[in-house]
Amino acid sequence: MKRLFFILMLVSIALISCQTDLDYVVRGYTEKIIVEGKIESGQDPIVYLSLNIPLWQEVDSASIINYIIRDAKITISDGEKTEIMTARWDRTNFPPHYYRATSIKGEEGKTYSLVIEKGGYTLYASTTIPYGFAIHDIKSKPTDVDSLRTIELTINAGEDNNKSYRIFSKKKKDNRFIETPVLFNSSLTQSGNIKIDLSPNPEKKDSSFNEGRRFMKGDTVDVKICAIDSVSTMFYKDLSMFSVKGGNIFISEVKPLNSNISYPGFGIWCGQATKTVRYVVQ
Amino acid sequence: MILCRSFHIVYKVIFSLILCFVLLQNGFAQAPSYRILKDTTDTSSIVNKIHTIQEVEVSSIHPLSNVKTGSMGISFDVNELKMLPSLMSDSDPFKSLQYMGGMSQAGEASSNIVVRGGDNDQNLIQLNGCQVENPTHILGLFSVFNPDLIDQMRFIKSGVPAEYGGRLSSVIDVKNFINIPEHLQVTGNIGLIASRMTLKLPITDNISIYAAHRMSYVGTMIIPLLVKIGIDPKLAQNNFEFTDTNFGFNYNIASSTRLSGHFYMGNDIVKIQDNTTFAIEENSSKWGNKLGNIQLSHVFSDKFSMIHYLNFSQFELKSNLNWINALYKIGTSKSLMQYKSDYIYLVDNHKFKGGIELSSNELLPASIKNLSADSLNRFENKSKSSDLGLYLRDEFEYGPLLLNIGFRSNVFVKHPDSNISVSNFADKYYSGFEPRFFSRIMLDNESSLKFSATKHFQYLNRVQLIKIGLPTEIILSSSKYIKPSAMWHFSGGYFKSLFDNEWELSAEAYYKTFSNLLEFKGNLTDLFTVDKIENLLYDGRGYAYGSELMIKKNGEKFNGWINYALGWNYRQFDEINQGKPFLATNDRRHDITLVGMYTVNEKINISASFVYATGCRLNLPRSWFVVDDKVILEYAKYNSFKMPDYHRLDVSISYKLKEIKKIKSEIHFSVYNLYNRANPFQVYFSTKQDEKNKYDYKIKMSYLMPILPSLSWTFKL
Repeated sequence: MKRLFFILMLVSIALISCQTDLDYVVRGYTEKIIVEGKIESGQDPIVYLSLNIPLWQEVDSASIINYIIRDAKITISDGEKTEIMTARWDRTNFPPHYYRATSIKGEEGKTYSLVIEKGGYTLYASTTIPYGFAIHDIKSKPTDVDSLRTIELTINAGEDNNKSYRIFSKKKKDNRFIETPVLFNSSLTQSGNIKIDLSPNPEKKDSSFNEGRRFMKGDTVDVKICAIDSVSTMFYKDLSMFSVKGGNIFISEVKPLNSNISYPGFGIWCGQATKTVRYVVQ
Repeated sequence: MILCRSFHIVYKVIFSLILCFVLLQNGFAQAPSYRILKDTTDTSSIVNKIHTIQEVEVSSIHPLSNVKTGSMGISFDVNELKMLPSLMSDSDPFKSLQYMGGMSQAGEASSNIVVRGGDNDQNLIQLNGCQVENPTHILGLFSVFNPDLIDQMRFIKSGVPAEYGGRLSSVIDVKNFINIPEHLQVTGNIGLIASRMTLKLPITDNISIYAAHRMSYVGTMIIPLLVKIGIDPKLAQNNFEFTDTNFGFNYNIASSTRLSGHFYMGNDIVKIQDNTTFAIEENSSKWGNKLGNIQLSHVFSDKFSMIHYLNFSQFELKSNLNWINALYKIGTSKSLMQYKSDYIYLVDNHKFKGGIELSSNELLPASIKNLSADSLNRFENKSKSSDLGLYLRDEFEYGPLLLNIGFRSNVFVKHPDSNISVSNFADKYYSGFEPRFFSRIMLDNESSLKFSATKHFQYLNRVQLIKIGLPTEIILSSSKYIKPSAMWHFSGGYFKSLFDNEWELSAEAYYKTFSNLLEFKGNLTDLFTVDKIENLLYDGRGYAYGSELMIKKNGEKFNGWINYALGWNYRQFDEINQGKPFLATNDRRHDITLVGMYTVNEKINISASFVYATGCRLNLPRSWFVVDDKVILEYAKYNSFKMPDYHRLDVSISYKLKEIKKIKSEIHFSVYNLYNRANPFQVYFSTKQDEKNKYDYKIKMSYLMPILPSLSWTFKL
């Protein structure tokens, strides 16, 4: 009997996945300037710059600052005005260092170009803030739990359908806007009224983690809707693939991201037409 | 579905009755099994062989078949394959194909079959003439072919004869036994995670029936037992199970006419529950094949015979996938009704074989639903198509030269999604001409040169949606948006037999070119938003070349062989890797197999096998960065990373127990992966932040099968 249990225990090992580190040699690593920039309608443009980190490189909170680019020259232009962005710190974000312009604001329908100069390289990027949209309706829907609701948002996309929408919500107790993962219509044929169910996915650090994708009855929720153009749509659509939690072992690869930053840059320069609405959950 | 359920119920009743009958009876004879080393006349058994034409039935293998045969296929001595070590000590001749040259050891717990650079869905796998889509259970641990029923198994990796079509890469043709047994036979195997039982019952001298059932009990018995001895209870929420059932009949209507029917139903479930340690979210898959076949053969004379087949096959796959915090339900299915007929005519030294194959396919390419958002569904219309194949070949021998020249002509019709009528019959059709040429020249009585050149078309493709361990694929047919895949295959080799076939040598080389290969380019979410799934496919090309060497020892006591394959496998898609050719994922540069089987005495057999294969290719990142609070990976040149090499050693020993009350039995003990090699199963990314705010981003590898001893008991009444 003991032998049988021994054999069975060994059999069980076959059903349990064991893991070990991979002796992985990084080949052909090239340094790239990572750009994350956005300009929202009515807001200042903001750009974050960093470097990509080789996979074999161990980093900590002290050494990671070496990968933040703090000495670049960023020039933004709306076709009429030009401004050099100034550097600032924001310790609540990663990267904690960013660049901001104050005299150029985002306007719907306008195209904004970036020129980034760093270490002898010059990067170029361009984005357009789509024309606006209207918030047609927002309402609560019951769930199987009496104190919790879901929210349904209806957007009137009008006739100009060459854009997609990113939806964020912030419950009263949260410190940040949490995105609702949506399916980006890759053919961009959305027009007229579009209904979207708000289903934020809070992380453990968020105060509303226990409510998950639902909202507390009586809560005050800020909903932010950002319309983005087709180029940004492709980027954020592919970005959603990287939302998988730290390595589902059954997924062996994902497809590389598209970028609208010229070489040797990588990332996104995104124009967003933004509307925010405050709603009390019924 | 109702028909299949009825068959299942009828089978269960018959099985139970027969089992009761068996337990009340005594004295069952065992059909003899033996290896034929030279021409032999056997009058001692009542094993009927009505048909002697090789194409209809081959029940013994000529010793010089490797040298003289009119193809580069291999017909196996199934009993020899059963002696090879296998997982869980359950002999599985189909799984043992991995030890044969030309078939790559794809990986751990994998159902993929890779032959000379071809993809997994490019292999024509048949059971009694019915197409089998996924030929394995539980991700490759077992095959769908019941070892107790297999009579013949043929593996053709090049020089595919004209009677086989519809796939590019290889043919694995498995046939159940069709002879009438002398007496009731009961065989079975009881193993650690699965067991089987088979009954073969003669009704009269000319009619017999059989039934067989296999099932696993991992989730119902083994895992609960392991939980009791302290295994993490969360792991008990996982489940891996399969069942399959075979039943059929053989009826010798007359001395030259035979009718037989074979039916198969199989089901698999693989379920992985949440596990935060491995960051697994709920994923599960269910799939199964249902096959039915009726065949009627008649020998008109010693020159002319024919066989008719009526086949039905159905495959269904459903997966639940927790992907990007949303639960998806993905399904695909395929049904095939087919009529085939083969005619064989011998005149002088010509052996003509021709036939017709008419198939009607119905596919549900994709059914996808986001269970987290009811509004997100995609149900493709059922895709209907028909396929007519005509073939003719002639095999003739002039002195040392043997030629097998033939062709296969296909017409594939994709029907409209709306009602089909005479005036609205074809949405798109394709015709294909497939020349098949094979030649063999005997250099002397014991050596030969062979060469083959064949063309193949494939009209149904299985496309992987995401590269994960569980099957998540859809089946698509050629249409006005998807051209048929095509391949040219050139192969040649030298074959030698030494010392009265005590030793066999062979050296082969091959070259393949592929066109219109499909690759999925989108994400799962794209399936909800595009108008046509075809818009999410890349169309590309490929080529593969290499060589295979073999040395084989045939002896009374000791048998064994060494295979070595060296190959390159490339793909080229305009949209991938900037349009430059890249090494395919299943590119395995070196593939080595060593097998040895030794008969110690009449009771004890031992065997050992060693397999080695270069690691497969992966598209892995080389750096990372953060955008939008997400860790993003930046990739190197496509498929530039090679996984660690795969190798393992298996050993087994079988011991024949003393016969008790006419029950003959054997104990099998085997050790899988004797030196506990950590062969890669999957690769994933791990991000850790320790208490000192140190970020550790690593690529980790998981492995599945450590050293694994097992025990099973095989019995025969």
